[in-house]
Amino acid sequence: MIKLRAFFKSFGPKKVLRGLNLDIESGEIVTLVGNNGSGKTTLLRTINTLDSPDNYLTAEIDGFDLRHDSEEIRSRVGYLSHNPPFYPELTGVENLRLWLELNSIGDAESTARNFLAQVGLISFSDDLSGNYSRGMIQRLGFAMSISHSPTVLLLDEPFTGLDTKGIEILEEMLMKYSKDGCSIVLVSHQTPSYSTRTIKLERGEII
Amino acid sequence: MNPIMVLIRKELKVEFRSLQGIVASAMLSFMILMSFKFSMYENSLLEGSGILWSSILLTGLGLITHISTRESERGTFELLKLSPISRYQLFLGRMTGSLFLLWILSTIIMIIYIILFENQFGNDIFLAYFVVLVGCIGLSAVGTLAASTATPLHGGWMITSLFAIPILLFTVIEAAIRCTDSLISGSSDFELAFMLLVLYNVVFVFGGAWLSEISD
Repeated sequence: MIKLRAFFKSFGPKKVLRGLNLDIESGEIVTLVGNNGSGKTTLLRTINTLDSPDNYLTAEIDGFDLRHDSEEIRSRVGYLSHNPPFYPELTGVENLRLWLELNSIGDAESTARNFLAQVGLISFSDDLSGNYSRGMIQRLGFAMSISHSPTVLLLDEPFTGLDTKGIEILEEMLMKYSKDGCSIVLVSHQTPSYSTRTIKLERGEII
Repeated sequence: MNPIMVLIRKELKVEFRSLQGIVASAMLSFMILMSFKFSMYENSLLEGSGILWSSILLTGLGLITHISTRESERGTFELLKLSPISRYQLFLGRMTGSLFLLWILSTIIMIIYIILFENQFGNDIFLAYFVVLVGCIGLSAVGTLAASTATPLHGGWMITSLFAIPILLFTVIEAAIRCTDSLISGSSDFELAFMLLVLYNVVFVFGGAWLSEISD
């Protein structure tokens, strides 16, 4: 569950988010649309604590304050960036295991293999991720974003580079996680049919 | 597993599979030592251990900056920042990972130094090596903190050096040179200089962890 009230973020003199008010309930799949530079990615990055908001009246994830409970929030948020980061010297399973161990998930090795199987990467799990294609990196990034069982999932253009099969897998998993009560925010240029709501951002304001 | 151990293991695995940082830094240190060898022969500077520490300082900072820049350019630093671990744990994990690599580099530098300039430390060679290992702790702490701050900026590698060298020069490096020089000359300054070196290390490690935590 995400709750924002009078949420502001700027970079120097440029005001990127201007007093946003936003409520996203558990199980919702909200599509965030808007032109380039409208503040979509910044909104996701401030919710996941990578960037700090300037000020706000309320900014809560599952009732935890964004500024004061940042560690708790990071354990509850899954984030897939536009270019998912990974270590090319590590194999797919090693990348995912690293993430799981940092999230204190037990039996990281088998959990990592389980998630790689879910995203269709199990036959490449022991290959160096530096040899992965763009679509495979996207699948690995998605597996990382969901593997620590987040309650809020923030996805920045998640279908980039994916083939038809990859898109199918990802959509099926999004619907499954939504049914399980996960709040999902999806930055996309098109609103998918399974999206429960579409929010349009323009110059840092919801219209 | 403790997140600090996870980060150390990751750092070593990434470096040993690419060998980019260690090999480049070792080659650079060899060239620095060779430059001293040919340009300052029969110079009084050779009677101390300043050349050894100059090489460790310059190439060590280069190695730490390389590690940090690689992390920053790939976006993996953001991946680490997204994990639910404390910022001080993140700092200590990255610092210790760099420290292990710095110890390997320093060992190589020490060997090259002894080959090129002969063993000035005599029977205290292992004590001198121990001082080098201890000195690397402060270097790693200041370097990691400086690199974390500077590498996201343009010209971050240069800013890291500009920030870290003055801090290290008059603290860790000065104390370390006094230690190793006293081993060469046989003076009684060693204990005091070594205590000072340990004190600087403690201040920089705890200071770095504290600054990382409050800067979040």
